[in-house]
Amino acid sequence: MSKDECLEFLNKGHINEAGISLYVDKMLLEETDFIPNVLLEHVENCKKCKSEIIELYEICKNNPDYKTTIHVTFSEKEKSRFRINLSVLLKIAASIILVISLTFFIKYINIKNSLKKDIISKKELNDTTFNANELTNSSSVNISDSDISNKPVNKKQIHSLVTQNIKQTSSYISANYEIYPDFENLIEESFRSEFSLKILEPKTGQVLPLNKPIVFKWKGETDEKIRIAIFNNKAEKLYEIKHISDNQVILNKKLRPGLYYWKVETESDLVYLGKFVIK
Amino acid sequence: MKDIDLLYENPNKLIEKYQDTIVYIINKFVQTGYIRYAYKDDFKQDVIEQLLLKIPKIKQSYNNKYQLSTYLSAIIRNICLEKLRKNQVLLQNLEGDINSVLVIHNSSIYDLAIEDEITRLETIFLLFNKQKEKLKLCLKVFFRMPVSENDIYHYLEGAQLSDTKIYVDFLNNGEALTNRDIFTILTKIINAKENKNNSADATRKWLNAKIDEIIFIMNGTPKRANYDKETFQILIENYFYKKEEKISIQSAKVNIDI
Repeated sequence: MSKDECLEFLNKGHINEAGISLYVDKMLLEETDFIPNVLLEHVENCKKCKSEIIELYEICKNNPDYKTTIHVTFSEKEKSRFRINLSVLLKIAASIILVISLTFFIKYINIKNSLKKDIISKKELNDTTFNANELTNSSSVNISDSDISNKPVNKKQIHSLVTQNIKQTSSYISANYEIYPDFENLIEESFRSEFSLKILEPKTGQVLPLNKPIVFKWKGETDEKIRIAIFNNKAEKLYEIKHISDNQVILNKKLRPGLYYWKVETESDLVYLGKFVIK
Repeated sequence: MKDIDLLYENPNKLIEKYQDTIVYIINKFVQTGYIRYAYKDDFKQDVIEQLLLKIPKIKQSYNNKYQLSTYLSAIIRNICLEKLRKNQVLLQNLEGDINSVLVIHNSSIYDLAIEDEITRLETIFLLFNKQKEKLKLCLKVFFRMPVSENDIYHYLEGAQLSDTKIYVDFLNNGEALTNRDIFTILTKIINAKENKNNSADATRKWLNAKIDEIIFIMNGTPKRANYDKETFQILIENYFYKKEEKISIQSAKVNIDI
């Protein structure tokens, strides 16, 4: 309590009723150390104020109806106890907030990492020109994507990425050589006797080089115009060449390594079904 | 509802709540003979009316830094004193009652009465704050109570004083000592503590003033007792004997515990 604040307890050279009450309160609470110095010094040297204090003190102390429960506002001990309790509560609250924040932060980091991985793997899988060998030889790659940060990916990440990609690529490649059972049953069967076509190229199961034109060649006469269709090993039609009048067709399209089927058809019938392999 | 809320919202209820306190304070005056028992209720009504008139002032001045119950007790007591002053009752002497107290010297309530007086004296000592220990030592020496080296060390609180044992032996010489001798020794001890060069006469004046002050406070306002220097000496002797008794009981307890 400042000296100016204590002035409110002084009146006409003596302590007023408020000051006397404050003094007596502190005496009853046995907290005389908390009495403002201005009051202590005045009372020490003032007979009248001593007398006032002692009379009120005895009234309050001996009055059975006097309130003995002291509100926290008036007791310094209670105040300090309250302050201690408050500080303990604040510490607990701060700990809880810290734990919650850490939990959210860790979750956020995990989500961010998994998103990053998803984006990287999607990007790499969609990139058909991805060259695994190139990546294995490079020490670091900048993966530029708006969805992910521009931080360089470290070697460990690259290695795992490459390994993953090689595995996926090899699994794709092996899948390209799997046979398609429905087509396999029809290979080299004679479908119509009136067509006397003899297939010269490619022979059934012939292995053809990669990135070279493919020559489809046959011998014999037909009444109807024929067409050829090329399928992959999942029976998906890749190309179809119609209204063929010659005995030969050259396909200048680049096919990926794998197993392929090809059909010779008329408008209404299947004449021939063969297969070849691109390696 | 809290007292402070009642003060602002329902002062009548607050005063009703404090009726017992009002009666308690009035009874104190009745016990000391300042209010006749027959007028007690009228006096109470007057006090309540006065208190109601003071409510606006209380609202204005009460600042929640102390208990409202203490503040109201102070105001109620002052209203009583003001009324008694107006009726000039305070000037009446209670000599007859005080004599009756002396008559009960050997009665069974004597010890209780002395106990109350000693408690009051102890509280008065507290109000002397920094002068408390000095005053106690001076009173002990002045009223020829046995003094120990510990008493002096306790007062000195670490201040250096040579020949303490000689002083103690001299002071314990009993009735052979004159007041001049006593104040000479006391002044040496006090000057050592306060680092001053006061005269023995200054110490004598200071102590006399303090004794008068304590007697005034012990007698109370309004006067509740009729102490003079002789009866005060008896009280002081009782005070120190009781204190010594307490100390010896406490040390005995400590010995038993050990």
